[in-house]
Amino acid sequence: MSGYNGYMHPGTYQSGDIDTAGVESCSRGVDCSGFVSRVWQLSSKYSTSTLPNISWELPASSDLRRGDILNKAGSHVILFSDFGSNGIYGYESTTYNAYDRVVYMYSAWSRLSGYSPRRYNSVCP
Amino acid sequence: MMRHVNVLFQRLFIGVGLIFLTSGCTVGQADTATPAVSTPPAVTASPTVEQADAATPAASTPPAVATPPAGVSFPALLVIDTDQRTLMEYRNGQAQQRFADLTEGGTILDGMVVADAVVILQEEGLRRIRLTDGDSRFQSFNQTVRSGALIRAGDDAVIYEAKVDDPQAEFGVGTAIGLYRTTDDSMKALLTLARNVGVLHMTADQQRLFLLPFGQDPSFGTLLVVNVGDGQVLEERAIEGELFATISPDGRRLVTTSRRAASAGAQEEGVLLDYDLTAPSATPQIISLPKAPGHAWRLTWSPDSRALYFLLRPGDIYDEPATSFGVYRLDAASGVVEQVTETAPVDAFLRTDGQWLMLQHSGERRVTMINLATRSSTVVDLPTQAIVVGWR
Repeated sequence: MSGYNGYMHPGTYQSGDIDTAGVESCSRGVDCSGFVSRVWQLSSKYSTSTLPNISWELPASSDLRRGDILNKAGSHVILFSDFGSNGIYGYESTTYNAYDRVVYMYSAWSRLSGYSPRRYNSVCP
Repeated sequence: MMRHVNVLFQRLFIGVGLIFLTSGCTVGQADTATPAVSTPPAVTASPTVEQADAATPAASTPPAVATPPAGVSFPALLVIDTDQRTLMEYRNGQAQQRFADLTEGGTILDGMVVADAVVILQEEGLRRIRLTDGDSRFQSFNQTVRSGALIRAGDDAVIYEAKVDDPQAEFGVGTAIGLYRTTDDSMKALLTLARNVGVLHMTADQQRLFLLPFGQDPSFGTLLVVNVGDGQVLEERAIEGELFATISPDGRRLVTTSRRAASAGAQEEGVLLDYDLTAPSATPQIISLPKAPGHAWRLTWSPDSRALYFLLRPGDIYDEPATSFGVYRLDAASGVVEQVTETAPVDAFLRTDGQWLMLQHSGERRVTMINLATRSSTVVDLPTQAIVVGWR
């Protein structure tokens, strides 16, 4: 995370290359979980497998508030922003649609099957 | 806390033959666009730099080679010069032989020595170069490959894993998998999957593939066993890990890199998770690492499946360390982790034939060759940007 901060500070790089192990010359990490780690101001990078260790599962997706996540361990995580028609709007670092960066986009509920709505432990419920 | 379950993919999409062109490039023919390069005679006596330059511009700056330990015969390195786009052999720091030009086929993604051939995965297809006579054969893909890798499948075969754009895939990336066999010099597409997977292993009968699905970060949670013939998922195992996973050549062990806290609230430390694939239980053996907090970085098995080699680095696996603790070895039978060398590059690609361990330094024109019997290291400076595909 300190490395990420260092890259971002001078404004030299763009945020949002999902390939942690080999980034493009113009950008420096973050993959989807790295992006959430940064937004949540975590002291180290968490993954979709370890984000559940520092968050709790909401009773229902309708309980989501801005800053919560939709997490699918071993696959992907989306930072929730707003509800939309039959889905949600969120921020995510993704290769979907050849974006290969952080984007704000709509996802239908049908896309979110298997995703767990979660809230960071250090946020008041 | 309720655990959520990943959506299971009971069937993978089969696209046999999809990735290879159905016409225009016949298997078994040498590629007309990239004719075989005649093999100049090996330089055997005191080559001058000028002689090497004339045949091999890549050798304009002779690579420096430390003196190999007494009694150790240093192998000749087989190198893809990515600046000059040639396949070269270097012995004792001198260019010895130029096997083939690689001007066609797009970006070079990976290369590997298999028996008496070098197989090269490129952006536009798969190339085979015979070391005996330099004969070059290229089979085109019908789609540009974004990234990819070659995976050894026994002594005489190699699998390619090619990541391609796929609008139908969940994250826009699909995977084409194929096989090259030296026994009959055949190249064959096996599967095209509408998801991003890594190939970890193929069974000796070449009937089953072990695949690791990836999402949008380096963590993973499932190992798939897939029938090569029809793409059916035969078995699905819950596993755990982040960044690195590797199956032993005998197919019996899966080792992943992961993190564990020694106690509740304690800082997480890097561990290896060792899964016995012959046992029904999915519970791994947790292998702690020396010099905690640290993490294992890049893993490679010895061909006999007796040892796993890796770099040991300080801090968390997502940190960018400035130093390395060295090369370490996990003894597969005892589970003991021991140091092989004290010094090592911070990052390197590892490859071993059981006698030598090669570390190709990341971001540097340099490889370290470690003789595993003597534990002695030899550093070789490469003259250009290069991929060392093997040695002999």
